[in-house]
Amino acid sequence: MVYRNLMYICGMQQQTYLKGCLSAIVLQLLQDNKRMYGYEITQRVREITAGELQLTEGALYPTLHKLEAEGVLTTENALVDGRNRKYYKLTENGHQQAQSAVSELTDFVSNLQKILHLKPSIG
Amino acid sequence: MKLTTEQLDLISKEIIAGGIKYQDLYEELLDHYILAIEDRVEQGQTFGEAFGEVHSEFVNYKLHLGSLSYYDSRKFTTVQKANFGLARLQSEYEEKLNKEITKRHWEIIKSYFRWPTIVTTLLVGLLTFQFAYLVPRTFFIWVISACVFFPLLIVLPQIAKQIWGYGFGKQKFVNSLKCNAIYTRLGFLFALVNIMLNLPRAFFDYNVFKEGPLFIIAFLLCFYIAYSLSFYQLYRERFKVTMA
Repeated sequence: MVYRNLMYICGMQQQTYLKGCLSAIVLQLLQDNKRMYGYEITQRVREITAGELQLTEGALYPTLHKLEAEGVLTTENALVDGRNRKYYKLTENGHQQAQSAVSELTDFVSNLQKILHLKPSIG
Repeated sequence: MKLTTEQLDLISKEIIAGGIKYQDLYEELLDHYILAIEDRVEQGQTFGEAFGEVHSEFVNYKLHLGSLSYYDSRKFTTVQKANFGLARLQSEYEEKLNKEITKRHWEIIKSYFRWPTIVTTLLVGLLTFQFAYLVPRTFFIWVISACVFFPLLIVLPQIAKQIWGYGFGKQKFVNSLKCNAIYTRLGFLFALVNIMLNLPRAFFDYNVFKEGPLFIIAFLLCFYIAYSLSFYQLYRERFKVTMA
């Protein structure tokens, strides 16, 4: 799973690394769950990573809005506790994009693992 | 733990004070604030602490960008506008949405000139040009008017719903970001008609429909049919707000 790989690369500067992977995380989560709302996404990431990763709202919402504007995500409203809740879900195009984003990130993580495990050799 | 009416009012006021002016974004943020604060209160924080923590996440968004000052020609004053926090989140969302919607709209229009749709487009074009010589000129005024008002009819229920909601206090704002983006596309269509009809009339006392060459009128009709259809396609694709 992409989240587990992410935990591996995230060390001291977790939030900095996270920014680059945010779209892939959101897309993967929405692929696993049919539809989700903003706060649910932040909580789900916290739950999966046992609190190691925390999505800031200032980073999550611009990502969701960008993906929505690009037509990767679509939204639907539901009335919960007397107020409108905005759910995000993948469009048909979004499903394809999610797969490619996740596989790209997985490749990147495996390459990173190779680099980080390289030991300097004397030619 | 459920929040009290006073606490909910305070959250709402702070979101509005942050510069939010669209209903859809306001509702999304309000829901997020309420859920996040309720969770924190359940974990033992006071409302004040929880609110401060949640609010700071949004208020500090791109804080380093500070504020933006510009001259407002309608008020004859220099206006200082926040360029960070909630206002920044909103302006970025608005910008992205408008940019992508415009891009997608032209993509749809361009798709009419790609294979195999181009066959239908050419046929419609050919028929329009043939008809131009067979029917009276007033016919075109009616068809073009229908093409221009057809998109307005599609969005009319949404506009009525918004005005109704705002008028009866169910909504804080009359407009939403998505609707604003689509009204811009509609405004563009009306502006085109206005320019085409009124500019030649104002400057040269020339009425395109009465005196213009038939092929130009037929071309304009083709353009408005394409614009109307693409608008409908765009609306179906992006703007139908569904209730689960």
